[in-house]
Amino acid sequence: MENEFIQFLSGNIEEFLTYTGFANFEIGNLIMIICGIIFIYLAIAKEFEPMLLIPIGFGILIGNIPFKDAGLQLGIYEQGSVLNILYQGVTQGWYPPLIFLGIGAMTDFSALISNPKLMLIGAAAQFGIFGAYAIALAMGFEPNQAGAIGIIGGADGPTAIFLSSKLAPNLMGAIAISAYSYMALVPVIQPPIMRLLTTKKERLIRMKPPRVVSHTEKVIFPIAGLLLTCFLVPSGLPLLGMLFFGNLLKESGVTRRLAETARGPLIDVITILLGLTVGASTQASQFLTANSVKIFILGAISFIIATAAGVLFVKFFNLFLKKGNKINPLIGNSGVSAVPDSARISQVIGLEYDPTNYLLMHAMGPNVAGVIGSAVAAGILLGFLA
Amino acid sequence: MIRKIIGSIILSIGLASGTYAQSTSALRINEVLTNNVSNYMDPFGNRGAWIEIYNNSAGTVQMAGCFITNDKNNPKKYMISKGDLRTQIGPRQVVLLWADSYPHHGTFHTNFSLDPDKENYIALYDASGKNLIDEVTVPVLEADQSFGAPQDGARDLKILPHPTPEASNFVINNNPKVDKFAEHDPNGIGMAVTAMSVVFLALILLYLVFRVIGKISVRLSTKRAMKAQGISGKIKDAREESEIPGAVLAAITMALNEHQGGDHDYEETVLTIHRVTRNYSPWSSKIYGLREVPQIKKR
Repeated sequence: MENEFIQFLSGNIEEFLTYTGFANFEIGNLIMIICGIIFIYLAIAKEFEPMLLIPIGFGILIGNIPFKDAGLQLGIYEQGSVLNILYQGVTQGWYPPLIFLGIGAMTDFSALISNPKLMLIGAAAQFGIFGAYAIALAMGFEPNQAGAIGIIGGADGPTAIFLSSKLAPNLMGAIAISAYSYMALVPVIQPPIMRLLTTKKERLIRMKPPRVVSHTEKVIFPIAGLLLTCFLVPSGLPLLGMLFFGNLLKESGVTRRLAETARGPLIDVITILLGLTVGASTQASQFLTANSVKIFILGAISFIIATAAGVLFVKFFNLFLKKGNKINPLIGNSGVSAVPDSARISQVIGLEYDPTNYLLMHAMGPNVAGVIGSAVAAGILLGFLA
Repeated sequence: MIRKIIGSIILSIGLASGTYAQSTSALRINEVLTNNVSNYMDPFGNRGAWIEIYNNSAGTVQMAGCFITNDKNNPKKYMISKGDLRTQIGPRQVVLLWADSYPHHGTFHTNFSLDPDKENYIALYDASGKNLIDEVTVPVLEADQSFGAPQDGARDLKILPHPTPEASNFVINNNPKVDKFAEHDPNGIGMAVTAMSVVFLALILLYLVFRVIGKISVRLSTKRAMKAQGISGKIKDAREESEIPGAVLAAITMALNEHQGGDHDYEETVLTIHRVTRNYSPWSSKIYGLREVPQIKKR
């Protein structure tokens, strides 16, 4: 009787041990867990995009705890599991438009409205997307996969997730991680390119202070912006529609509570869920592939092309501008979205060469134009390749 | 007030009926088989004629209440039952109706049958029984041949040698758009040129619109300021007149301060200068909302 009981207990313990993470551990899990810890370290110690890297980093840890595939509905890829339900917002593409709603409600487009020619810089920086698209094709990716990878160059995480969920769902984890990693590394990637492509004289250009923008102009902007961009590219509607709607909530002046919710609790909730589930989707078995490595390389290339295209476009644009109206090419980098980090880089580099030349407000113009530009580009890719 | 209420009711009814009509109008008679010898069998084990209805839209369409008929003079011959949830057709999906004269077999069995030896007219009407949604005239078919749209939802119906009841008439196992790009634009230049042109066009449009709006706005605000200050004449002159150098403004402020008794030897408050580590621009306080750039501390 006692023997039977002991056998029963030992059998149970053996069974239990097969369920532990140690029994199901693979080297890939360890690599991904180290990546997650590095993300968390960078977020806390170096303050690189902590709002994104902490949820993603912790999500990577969650997604890489090994477990026995016994139909317990634990993993993010198991239909009906809690993580899988939360992940639907990513796979079905409804988190990114909600993030855009919040971005719209927190973005001040005054800099852009007061100097609308800065919008063209936001357009030029989208070369990064299509440069990376061409290189991805050369590396053997299908056109739809290349489009999803290229959008990393838009430096806009929600846009990258939205487009990849539609064009190449199997690459979404790698694309999202790559996009957010490089957005966090904007302070490292952009300054050398900006210095390389500008002369000292150009870096000292002082721009006219932006004029005061009236309330009416601010209200017209989201309405005209929506109508003009979405009539041209209706496939950009989910992102642009929400972006401009959020901005109207902010600028109308009569929906303060809604605007505060959109730019506060709502965007925070969605950011948490988005970051965590994207991180958790990087299960080693799904993520550690040769394609992921290629996507990381292409992501870096697309950021470099986008930054260079923005800076060079300003230099080219200056050829046609009068002396007092020249644009400092150091704001060209901010044409990639990455709001407001890339604009901050313009400010910091500008101050290095002239401590009284404040470029931040000027850089915010192309920066928010970059958000619009990358959403338009995503709409075009979706229309062409979906 | 009453007019407004009546107007709103009419508008609502109009919109509601318009929406309904728009949704059922997406239905198509997609495939018909009149001569069923060894083809699809219904759940009762009978091989009858069948009619496949396709939802040619991206939204779900409710076909309950619609009418299907084989008689031009009797559009309301068979009403599709309203009590069956299966009458909702998902986007780009199909349902099959058995034209077998066995309506007591359920919603999807009509009260008429089709004659395999003659041409058959089939029409689908909306819930009013007045608006025709789709109609086809099916020629005489050989055994187990169907008459349908080669591409689901298309209007040019043809004889199909291989019937596909309750399934798409055209199986897609690739993305034609992607294939087209892979074939004609293998290096991505075409995509880059086209897409960048559209991106630039969108932002140039915005630029032009806001350039005009900006100019109008500046003009209006200047006029308003001129009116408030009682300045007459051209806007340009007023701008020149109102543009006072910062140093002059500072001197005026100082003079006013002194005039109001601010010229005393001992100050009531003490000002201290606190060095802010972040670079500050007087016209932009946004810098405080940003994090500092991570810097390597050299010891």
